Amino acid sequence: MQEPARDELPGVMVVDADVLVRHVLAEYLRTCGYRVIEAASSDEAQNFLEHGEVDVDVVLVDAQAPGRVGGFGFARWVREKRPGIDVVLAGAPEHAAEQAADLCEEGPHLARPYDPQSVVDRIKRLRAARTRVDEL
Amino acid sequence: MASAAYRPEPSDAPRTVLVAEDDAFLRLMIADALRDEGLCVIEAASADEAFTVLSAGMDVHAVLTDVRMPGSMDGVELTRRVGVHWPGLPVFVTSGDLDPAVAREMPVFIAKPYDLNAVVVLILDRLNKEVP
Repeated sequence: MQEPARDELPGVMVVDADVLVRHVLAEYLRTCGYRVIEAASSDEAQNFLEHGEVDVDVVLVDAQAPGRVGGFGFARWVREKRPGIDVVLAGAPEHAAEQAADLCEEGPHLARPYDPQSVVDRIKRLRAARTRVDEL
Repeated sequence: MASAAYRPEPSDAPRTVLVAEDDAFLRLMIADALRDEGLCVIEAASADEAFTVLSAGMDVHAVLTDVRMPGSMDGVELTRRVGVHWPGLPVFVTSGDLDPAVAREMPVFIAKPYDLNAVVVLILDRLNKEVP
C-alpha cells in the first residue's frame, strides 16, 4: 500500500523549549503516523499558525514554554483564534497547583515529562471527539 | 560532556542530521527534505540546543548550522566546539551575511538563500563517503 503524502497526515504541533524532550516526543509521533511540526517557543508556534503553510489538527504545548505569550498564553490564543485546532496543555505536576484556577477553565494538564503513548492516546481521543462533533 | 570522535555507522544504520536553525520555517523545510531521503533529523532552534544534543551523546552523523542565532553561542562557535569535542563529525555552515574570511575557515560553507535539494545532495554525498 502506498504511504500517504505528508500533507495528508494529521498534523501535530509540539511546542517545547527542551530540545531533547521535544525531539523524542516528535519522533515517537512521527512513527505513529503524524505529521509533526516542532516549535521551541510560543513565538515560533504562533508564527507557524499565522503565516505558515502547515495544517495543524492538534497543538501540544508545554505551559512553561518561553515566548512573548508563553505556553499557557499560546494555548489560550489557539483556543480563541483557531477553534478548529485541539489543544493539549502539558506541564510539570508541581506547577499544576499554582495554575489550579486556570486549569478549571482550560482543562486538565498532561503530565510532563511526557509518556509518549499517553500523548498519542490523548490525541486520538481528541480527534475522535472532533469527528463526532463534525458529524452531528 | 560526550567527547568521542565521530565514527561512521554501517550503511544500513539510520543516519541522523542535526539541524540548527532559528528560522522555524526554514528549519522545517530542510528537515522535511532530509527526512524525505530517509534520514533522521534532530531540529535545534539554536546553537545552544544543538550543543545540548551533542553533549547528551545522541547519535549524530552530520551537523547543518546557521550562524546568527539567539543564545550564548553562534554557529561559528558551535562549529569550533564540534571540531574540538567531536573531531571528524561533518559540519555544514550556512549564512546570508558571514564575513567571507570567516566563511573560508568553515569546513563547508553554504551561502543563503540556498537550494534545499542541493543542500540535501551535499549532505548525502558526504554521509555516503563516510560509510566504511
